[in-house]
Amino acid sequence: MLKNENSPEGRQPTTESEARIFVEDLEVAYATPSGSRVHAVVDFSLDIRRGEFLTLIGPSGCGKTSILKAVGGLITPDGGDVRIGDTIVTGPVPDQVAYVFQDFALFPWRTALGNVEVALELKKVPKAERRERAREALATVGLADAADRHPHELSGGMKQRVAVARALVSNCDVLLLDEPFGALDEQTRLVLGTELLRILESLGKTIIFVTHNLQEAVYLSDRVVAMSARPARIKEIIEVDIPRPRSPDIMVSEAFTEIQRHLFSLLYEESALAMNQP
Amino acid sequence: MSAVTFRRVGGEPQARRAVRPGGAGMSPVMLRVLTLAAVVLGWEVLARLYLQDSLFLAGPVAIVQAIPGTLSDPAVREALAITAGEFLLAFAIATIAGVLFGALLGATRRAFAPSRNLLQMAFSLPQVALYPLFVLWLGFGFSSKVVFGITHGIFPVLLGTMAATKMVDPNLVTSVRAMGGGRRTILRKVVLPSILPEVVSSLRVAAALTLLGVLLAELMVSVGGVGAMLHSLSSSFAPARLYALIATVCAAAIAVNLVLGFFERRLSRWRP
Ligand SMILES: Nc1ncnc2c1ncn2[C@@H]1O[C@H](COP(=O)(O)OP(=O)(O)O)[C@@H](O)[C@H]1O
Ligand SMILES: [Mg+2]
Repeated sequence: MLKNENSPEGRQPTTESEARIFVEDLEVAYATPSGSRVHAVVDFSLDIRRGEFLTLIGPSGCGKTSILKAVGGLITPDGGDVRIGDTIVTGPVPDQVAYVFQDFALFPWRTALGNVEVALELKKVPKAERRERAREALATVGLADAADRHPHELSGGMKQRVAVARALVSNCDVLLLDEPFGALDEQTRLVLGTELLRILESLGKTIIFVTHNLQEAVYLSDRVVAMSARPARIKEIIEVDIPRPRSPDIMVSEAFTEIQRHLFSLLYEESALAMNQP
Repeated sequence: MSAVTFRRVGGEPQARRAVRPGGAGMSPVMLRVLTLAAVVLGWEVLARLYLQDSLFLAGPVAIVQAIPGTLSDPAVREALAITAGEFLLAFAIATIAGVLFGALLGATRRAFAPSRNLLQMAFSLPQVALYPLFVLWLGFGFSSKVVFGITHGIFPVLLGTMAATKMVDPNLVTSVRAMGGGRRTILRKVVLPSILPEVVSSLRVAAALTLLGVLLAELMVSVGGVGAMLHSLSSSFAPARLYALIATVCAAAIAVNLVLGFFERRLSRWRP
């Protein structure tokens, strides 16, 4: 649900008309079992450009998922707001934002095709069109032949691609990817990352991507946001000035390894901090 | 043939052969059928040899011969109709109420553990001991029998639905919310399909227990229905007729179980 915002002091078109998602002073807190509140995100502000691939990287439990959920309207922030274009996010925005979750969130009783179709079902797209578009999306991720299989007959990598197909099928401008490769082994992850990049570079979507993996972050992104331990704050934003389209051999280039090393030193401290948090 | 191959591998085949049940390459189904046939045959032989004109026991052939006659008796038909009606009503109510409240309790985090403990305790009580209270409150007739059926059948449905609802994948719920689904969509597209196999499997137990409840009530108060008829037949010295009625009831119970089992298998085909 998007609420139109016609405030006169709206954003200046000259500096920010390129931006797609605005996160302003975002604050997210959760109630603990003992009754107190713990802040997952505090004073988090970030503008994401149209068509940008932006990665959030930070220690586990620092608040990355909370930021994504706030951007997609799945949780209500305790402070600040999120805008997509010129409208404030107050609830899920299925017409503009699609998700891929870490555990894929597939329906075990639906086939791969049915799992992709469900996104369109919820939008009341007629059955024939639904079929057609879902098949196309599956073909895009290279799963045309697995359309009739159930999730338990698919490998981890295939499930992940079904989830990506489902996110692509509704033609949303914004993709939120929450550790989409988190449940996969290193090799699969590398191959799928490369493949995902190939698909996404041709689609020009605005993407927020969450990962733990430094290499993946640098390889995929236009900008990488290094986050502090909980509560999530921005530690540094790193521009990845490596031209696109990218191919896996850039991973051994000087520029690439330099950025990766820098990120590592930023995150090492924070991860050590995070480890000692309750 | 395979024995030759086995011998080549050394010590292992001995162990493998030892754990094979039944031996002689017989399939489990075959084994079951043969066992049953042996029991029936032995029973018939014993009945012919020792139980001619017995007042308490009948052989299988006599029982089968008595079934058509028994089933065409209007009194028996009426009893069967009464019991079937009571059973169906009790089973329907146990199913609907059990699924509704089970889903509600399963979805409410705080209510789950306390209510499950309470229900498990109640489930373990011998309800037969409480039947006089049912009669006291509801009388001898239809309602006390139906309610007794419900109180027997509802526990497995409640407990099964609760457990299944608690196991619904929260990520799937989040995902449907992100795709624009509201409460009703979540219920229809996530909760119901997730819990269905478990619910139907609990219904198999519930059907047996509901029938037990209804028959127990009829046996105890002896007012109408198959239970009451069994009660009177048991002291009427017409064993073939008694056994024919018992066989009919058993066949009906097995049929219900088979139908539900069929649905259960169909509904859980997606499970690994
Ligand atoms: N539903 C919730 N209830 C209570 N605490 C939560 C909830 N979700 C997240 N948290 C807490 O908020 C912090 C940030 O969580 P999250 O945003 O999932 O971090 P990340 O995705 O970076 O691992 C964590 O410490 C986590 O324990
Ligand atoms: Mg997370």
